[in-house]
Amino acid sequence: MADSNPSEQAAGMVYSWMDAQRLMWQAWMDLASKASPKEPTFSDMADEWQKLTMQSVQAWGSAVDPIIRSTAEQFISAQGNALRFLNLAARAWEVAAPKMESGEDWQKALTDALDEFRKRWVNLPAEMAAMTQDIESMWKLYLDQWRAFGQPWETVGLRAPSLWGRMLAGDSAALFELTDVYQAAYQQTLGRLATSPNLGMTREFNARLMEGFDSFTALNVANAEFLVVVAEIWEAAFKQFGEDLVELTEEGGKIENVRDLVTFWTRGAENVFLEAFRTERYTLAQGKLLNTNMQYRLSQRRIVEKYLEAFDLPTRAEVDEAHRRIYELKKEVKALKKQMEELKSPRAKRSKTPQKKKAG
Amino acid sequence: MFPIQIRYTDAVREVVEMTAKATHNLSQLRESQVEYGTAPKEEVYREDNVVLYRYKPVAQNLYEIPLLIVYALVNRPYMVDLQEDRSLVRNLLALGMDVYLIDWGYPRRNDRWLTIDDHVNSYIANCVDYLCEQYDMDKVNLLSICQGGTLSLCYTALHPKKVRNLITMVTPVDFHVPNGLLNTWSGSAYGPASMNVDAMVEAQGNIPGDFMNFGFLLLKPFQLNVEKYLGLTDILDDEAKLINFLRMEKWIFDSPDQAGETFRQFIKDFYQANKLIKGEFTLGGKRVDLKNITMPVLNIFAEEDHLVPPASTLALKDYVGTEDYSVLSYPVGHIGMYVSGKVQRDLPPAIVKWLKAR
Repeated sequence: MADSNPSEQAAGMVYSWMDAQRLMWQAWMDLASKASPKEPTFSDMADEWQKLTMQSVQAWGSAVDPIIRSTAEQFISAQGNALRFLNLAARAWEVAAPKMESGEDWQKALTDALDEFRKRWVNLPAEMAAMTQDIESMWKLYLDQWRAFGQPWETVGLRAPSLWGRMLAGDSAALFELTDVYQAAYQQTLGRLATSPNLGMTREFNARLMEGFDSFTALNVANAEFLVVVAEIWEAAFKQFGEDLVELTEEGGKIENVRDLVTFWTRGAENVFLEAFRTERYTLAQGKLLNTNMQYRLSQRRIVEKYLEAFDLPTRAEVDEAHRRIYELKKEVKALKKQMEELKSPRAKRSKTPQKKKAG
Repeated sequence: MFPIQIRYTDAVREVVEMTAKATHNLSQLRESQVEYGTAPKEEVYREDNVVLYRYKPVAQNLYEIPLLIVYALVNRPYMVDLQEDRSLVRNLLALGMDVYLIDWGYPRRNDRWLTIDDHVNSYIANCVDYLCEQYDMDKVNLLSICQGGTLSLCYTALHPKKVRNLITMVTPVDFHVPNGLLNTWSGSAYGPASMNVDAMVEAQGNIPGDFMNFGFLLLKPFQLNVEKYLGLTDILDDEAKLINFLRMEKWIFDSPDQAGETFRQFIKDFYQANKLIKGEFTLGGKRVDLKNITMPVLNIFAEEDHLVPPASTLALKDYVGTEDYSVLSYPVGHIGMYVSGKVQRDLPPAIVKWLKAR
């Protein structure tokens, strides 16, 4: 680019970029409209491009080593991220360029633009966290997890909260309704196949279902909280990126290709992320997400085990117990064999170590 | 002047062309080309999933004391023999060493109950006893790596009469050093709030290798997940370098599951409670006292190690009982110890020289 005053250059940059975007969109319009009826965004196009290239890799077939395929997929993914990042940088610059034209503080405008992105990202997890307060919606989501186990149980799940509510308010008819709903679901699923006694409305099963819902809710809350923390780290990383750009401008440096742009971003962002990763706030948010995930898995298993027991199938706990018993027996046998070997032919006690050499 | 001088159309063209080239060049390669662990070896002892290999000696005058390599559980041990020109094993063989290696295998669901005691007082102990029997000796030399080093320190402290010389490489000893991100995430600072390992093991049994991988990659999120792959563009036209890259990828993602009880104990007793250096760690009912390590020790660390901070490795000096303690370091990262050409040129002779002098 020819040397000229910053505002002319900036304006030229923005217009050429926007022209390029329009050309791209016109060329890709047919393709993008198949993916999405609405006007495609750059993200849509990047996603579409990535999907097409991934499909071409997946079509390689089994002749190609999985690690080769996986490396190609990682490469495409990295390129896709680079493109999206370039788009973000361009959007931030679109905000800053007019300020530069008018001689205003474009660095501040750039920082403010990045701030806008941050607010958008931070709000999204907060909206997710708010949703966890909506019990009805959470129940629906929870039961979607169990759809594989049969639609009838969804009826139980959907109706149970309100029936419990009525019961607690003193409406005894709700208890009978809940029993009927439960019995109907049982008869349509397990009752048809199992010869086991009718379980009826078991407190234990219901308790497991409720426990599962509690852990599902806890997981979603932890997830939303974690995303808030991560969004703030992204904000800090973009702020660092903006500051680094300002510094680069003052030094007269430039970035002329995507690869250099990603390297430039990585240099700053990696440090921001690693510093944040070391903090108590991040560590505990990550830990909470991990721990609630494990609790959710445990509660899922306890529910599944109830089904497996009804079908006389071994549960995970039973298999683990069997393995533990086998492990202990193997150890006993090994120890006994070793004792027998020692009794048969004890090792000679004489030293067999070669003469030690002097150091140096 | 705005420093980002990239036209959108140029950027897209750059990316699309690179992607096309990468996918084309990669698609020409076949699995048979991505070989690893090619130094000839034979199985000499097996116990459950664990195999003891002897590498085929290549030198005329073989050093009489066998060298047993004890690798970590968290990755596959062929890192020490990744490729012909980057092989610690081949270099040691060329220098006349008689090299053995413990391959821990891939834990299966029935291995969920294996403990650290099993790994130390059963597998390592039996491999050492096997070698002592075969060579009609009382002691062997140990070369232990990363978590394998921690296990070997425990073994040596409990069985000092079986170890002639001990070498530890990039071995974590003090799990509560500052700035260890892996330590922090595993609970060194905040305990179960950062990792409830009881819930993890109860929920999953064995800890999936993919989970371990994900954690390791997150330690350098952009370098290891984005920048590394963009760097492929520099080597796309060099098939040999491309295959080296893929070989490393294969190793990185070839992570075994971790036996549940071993993982539980390692996290709780080492990362969270730091029992080893406190002298509180016990195996088989016996306290692991590092002061019992009175034979010569060579402690090797990587100066830019982000997985095992140097301070964690260097702490060993304050806890062993030996008077013959040496340190060696190189300006590389954790994996660089095995794949750096310079290290592979200098390290094996240094190890052999140190061993032969003792």
